[in-house]
Parts: sequence; C-alpha cells; structure tokens
Amino acid sequence: MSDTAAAPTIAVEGVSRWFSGVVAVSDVSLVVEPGVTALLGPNGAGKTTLLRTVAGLIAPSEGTVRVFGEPARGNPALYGRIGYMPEHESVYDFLTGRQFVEWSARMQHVADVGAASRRAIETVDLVEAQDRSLRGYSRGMRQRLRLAATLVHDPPLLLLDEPLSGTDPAQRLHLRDVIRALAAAGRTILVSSHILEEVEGLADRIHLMVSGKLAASGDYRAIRKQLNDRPFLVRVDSSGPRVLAAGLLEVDAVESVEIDAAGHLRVRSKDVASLQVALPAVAQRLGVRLLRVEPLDDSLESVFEYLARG
Amino acid sequence: MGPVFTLTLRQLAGSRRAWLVLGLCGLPPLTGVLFHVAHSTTTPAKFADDVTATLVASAILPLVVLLVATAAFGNEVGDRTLVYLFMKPLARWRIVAPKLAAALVVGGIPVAVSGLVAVLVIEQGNPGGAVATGIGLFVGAAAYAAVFVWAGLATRHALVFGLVYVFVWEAALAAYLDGIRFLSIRRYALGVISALDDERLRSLDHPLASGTAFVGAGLVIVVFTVLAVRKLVRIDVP
Repeated sequence: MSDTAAAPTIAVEGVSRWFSGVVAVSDVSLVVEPGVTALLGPNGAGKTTLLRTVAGLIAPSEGTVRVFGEPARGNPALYGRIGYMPEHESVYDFLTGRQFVEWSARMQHVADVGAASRRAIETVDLVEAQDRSLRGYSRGMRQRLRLAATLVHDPPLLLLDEPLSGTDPAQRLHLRDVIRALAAAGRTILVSSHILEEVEGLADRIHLMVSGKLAASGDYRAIRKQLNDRPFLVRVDSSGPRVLAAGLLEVDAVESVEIDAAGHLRVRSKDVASLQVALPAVAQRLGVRLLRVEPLDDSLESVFEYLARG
Repeated sequence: MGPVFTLTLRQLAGSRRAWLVLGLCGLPPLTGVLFHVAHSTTTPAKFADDVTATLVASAILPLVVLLVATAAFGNEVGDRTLVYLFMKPLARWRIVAPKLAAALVVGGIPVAVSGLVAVLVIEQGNPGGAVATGIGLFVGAAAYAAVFVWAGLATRHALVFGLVYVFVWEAALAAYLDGIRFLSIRRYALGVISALDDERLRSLDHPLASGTAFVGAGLVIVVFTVLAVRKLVRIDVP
C-alpha cells in the first residue's frame, strides 16, 4: 500500500510503440502528478498513441506504464478510477445525450445514476440538449457530452485527448474552467493538444512531443520563453535590398541577413519585437521603401521542431 | 438486464439488419403455407424435414446469426465505440456474455421460432416435433453466435469469414468429405433435433449421435466464448 501511495499517478518508463514498422512513440519516460498536465505536439507527434498506452487501450511495444502504481494494460478494475475521452467523436448515436451519460454511469457502478448524470450534464452546460438524439448534436456538443460521460463516475484521473477541439471560443473557455476546477479538487488530468495557446492557463506542466519523442518538459512559461527566444526568419522585400541589409546588420536584434537571387532579404532575429521596431526605422533612415515583410517559419511544426532541438 | 445487454439489443434491433432477419425468418412458415396451397404429393413429415434441413438449418440459420452476431462487436470496432465498453471496470466476460445473449435474442430466437412455426404449419400439428426443431435450431444459433461474435472481434472481415465457413466448409466441402459433419454446427443442430424427437430428420445421411451433437455444440459455444474474452483482453482498441 505504501508503494502505491508513494507512486506518481502515471509513470511511463521507456515506452515505445510501433505499428507495422512505423514508430509512433519512441522511448518516452515521464511521470504525471495531480494537477493538469498537457501533452503538446503537432499532429502525428504520438500524443494519442501515448495516451492510449496510458489508458491500457494498446500495449506498448517496449517499456512499462503504471497508473496508481498498477499496470495499465489488462487491468479492468483500474477503469473505475480513470475517465478517458478519446479524440474521435464517435458515440452511440441512437441514444440521447442523457441516456449516454446514464449508461456510462451504470457501467461504472455509480450508486445514484440519475443524480450523477444530472451533475455531469450540468457541469458541461448541456441540460437543454440532454434529451435530444446524439445524431443531432454538433461537434462541440458531442465533445462536451463525451466529457460529461467521462467524468460521471468522478474519477481521480482524467485522460482527455484534444478535449477542446471542435468547441467554439465560449465553450472552450467554459471547458477550460471545468478542467481547472476538476484539477483544483485534487484530480490528475492529462490532456493532449496541438495548440500551444490552448494549454495556456490550463496546464501546470507541459510535455512536448515531436516525432514520437519527448522533446521538452516544463511549465507553460518555460516553454513559452523558449518559443519567444527562438530565432525567427523574416523575408523583407524593399526598394534597396543591399543598402537595407547593411543597415540591418548594425541592429543588435539581427543575427544575420542574406540576399537571395531575386533580391529578397532573409533576416534572422532572436528578438522579433525589437526587429519590428528597428526595421521601419532603419528603412526610413536609409531612404529605402519597404514593399513586403513576411515571417518565413511561423508554422506550428517549425515552432515545435525548434523547441524539440532546444 | 445489464447495460451491455440492453445497449447491444438496441444496436442490433435498431439496425437495418433486423429487418433482413425478420424477412428471412418469415420464409419457412410461408413455405409451409405454400405447401398446403400447392397440394404437394410429398408427405408433410418429409416436407417438414426437408425445409428444416435444407432451407432453415443450411441457409437461414447461419445467415441470420451471421448478420447479427458479427455486428455485436463488429459495429463497435468499425465505428470506434468499443473504447466506451473497454474502459469500464468490468471483467471482460461480462462484456462478451451479454453481447452473445443479445445476438441470440435478436437472431437465435427468431430463427428458432420460425423453424418451430414452419413445422406446425406444414404438419398442422406435431407440437413435439416443432418444439424439438425450435430447440435444435436455438442450440445451433448459440454455437454459430459464439463463433461469429468472436469473428466480429478478431477480424474486420467477419462476414466474409462466416460466409466461407457456412457455404464452403459446411456446404461445399461437406458434400465430398463426410468427416466434416463432426465439425459442422449445422449438423450439431440437426443432431439435437433428431435426439429430441427421433421421428424427425430420419432421411438425413449419416446423422450425428445425440451425444456428439450436444457435446460438439457445447464445445463450440464454450471454446469460442473463451476465445472472444481472450481477444477482448488483448485487443488494440481502435
């Protein structure tokens, strides 16, 4: 009992998982404690595979997963203490919303099915739609209802795969508050997301996954700082590229300047805010007209890859 | 009735397959009516045996149970709702057993009743023979259901697997290889009918001994139920 009490809620050790020779998760080790932890990474990074491994839905090809100190795979009794919400929105669409939540409660041996279901449906703000067929639910409504079914048995551990996707901004704020409140009550919540801003104000800790590997771990501010500190590449079209290049090289915020064959400048900077101020000032001083300024590597993948390298 | 049973019942009974089941199960009694309308020269007992052995046991029974039992898990795998069943604190047999029971209610009982009614209509009586037919068909349905429920979990091509078993193994190959009758659910079902009413199915070639039929059907039910439970424990849930 003491071992179990001392164990982290989730302990993942050296877990790899491959499908027909394709590696989805590679040698990931992490622990998850109470509070909200985010698995962050671009699509295809292995977040869902790792979550499914933690839930015992698939076996790891290598490594071990323990939840509450017990093996996650082949241990159905554990599911009384876990709520898992899959990424895909499939539901038994011949049921109404309330029937689906009540069915989940019955399957979890909840003592007062009616009261627990009402509470869960109220939590996700779906009271008015609860008696409608799930066939008629929007994606965001299905998302919220599946969350209600996931937490109807009040589990101490919630595994939520992209819980905010498909929801509108107001619903997203509401669900974020719900998840924070659940965590504040002592639960362990592991959420996955591919949007950095989405986990801001939601997760206490972040595990960043890129290409199946754990690339970085830390709190949101540390990850965000790394993001802000990364060099940005900006394309600048102007009426005098060579003159402007010479002028920009005198600016502290600029790391390097290249001129391509078409005469476009490629300016690399680690301090985008300073560059934003300096660029028009330098151009004005040198009498150069700016025609176009465009970030070249601001895609999500490039952000994640930079953080992974860091 | 548990939540897995009721859910599966709604899944199966609410699908288009259920209408197909009803249509197929209407054929044997209808054949009985036609027998009397057409003033056939065959005796009612012989005609009832032919309908039972060829139309019901060889085609309608396996087809109906195939349609229903493969969907018991096959639908959950196909539309990715199996995760909701899997992530519940239930011993895996408590998921498989209600699924099997629901498949029997939606597929097995209609076929058994259909065969029973057909014999009553054709023979215009003989309740003993009719009940024996119903019980034998139900035992056969249980064995087929165990196999096809397992197949619905084990392969995404469960319908193809079932059709090959029924129409290649039990029908085509059995015509050449007499020993196949010991590994044929259809022959177990017919063997049970003969065992319960020795006046029925006398014209059947090489009937199985009653013990063989009961033990064979029982073994199939137990072995494939265990295999389904084992598969559910080890499955990679989509």
